[in-house]
Amino acid sequence: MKGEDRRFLAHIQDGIPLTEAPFEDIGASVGMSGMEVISRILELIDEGVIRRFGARFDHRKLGIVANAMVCWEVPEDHIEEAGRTVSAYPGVTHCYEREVVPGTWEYNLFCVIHGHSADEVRMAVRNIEREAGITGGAILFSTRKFKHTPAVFISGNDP
Amino acid sequence: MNPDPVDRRLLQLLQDEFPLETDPWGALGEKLGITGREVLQRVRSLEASGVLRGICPVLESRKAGIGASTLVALHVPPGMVDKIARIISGYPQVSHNYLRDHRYNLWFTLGARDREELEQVLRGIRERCGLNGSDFIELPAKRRFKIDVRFPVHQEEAS
Repeated sequence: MKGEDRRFLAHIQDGIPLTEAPFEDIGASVGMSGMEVISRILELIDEGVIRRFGARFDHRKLGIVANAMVCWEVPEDHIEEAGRTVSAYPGVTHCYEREVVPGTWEYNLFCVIHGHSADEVRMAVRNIEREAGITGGAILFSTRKFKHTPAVFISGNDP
Repeated sequence: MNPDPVDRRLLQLLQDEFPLETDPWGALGEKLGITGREVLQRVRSLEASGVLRGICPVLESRKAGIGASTLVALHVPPGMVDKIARIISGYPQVSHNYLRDHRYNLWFTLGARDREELEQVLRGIRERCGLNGSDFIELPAKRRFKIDVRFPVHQEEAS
């Protein structure tokens, strides 16, 4: 990523100002017009640097208070299909195949599921297992959040 | 706070279809049948109530300077959880850090510029927390099936 993009993203990563003309106001502080700001954002979306542009919620305040990481041990020849099926399920925000630690951690398919209650999450896991043809998921509910920040934070001072 | 039906439709649009236009509030107002001024007022109070965290770009970490990332699970004695969680959360490279109901009770994700920086952070955490062997397992991703942290808001009314 170019230094110029880095500075631009550092400026907007925490969100647009909630003013009447947010893009013009951003432009005023980075020396661009509002239209130029919008074009730059659209280019960064095309380049895949920005995955999406929109609201981030505190989903707990919307009643979505339960979340679990669910892990399965899936045979290599079934993981592609299982991963796709798990990913398509509503409430699943993340789904990854991960390396195992032989003898200690044999689960290789991971997802994060959100719901309004622990029961709703457990029911989702049962449905997912039936649809994906997998069993024995370990459900690890989160009981305390120590830290939750975006995976990327751009410091405007970096080269 | 309890978002009314218009707020819920607005939240859904802010998340899924935020208009990248010079007058985003007016464009949203047209879809909702209210004025742009009312949209902005509602957006401001949704932010004040904490439901809306921000309207921002979600960055693709691999394209935004995060060359190496991983997931780590720790088995921490209950009496040590607070102390160890604090040490881990203190690293800027750590983005998520959660307590979960499992023998492996502390789970965190971290992303760094490259593998070398990642290893350095992991070494630091291992030493400072005094965790070794199977009490500290690293589970890097082999394949990403899905990452899309969005929530259904509007449909909630029906349930």
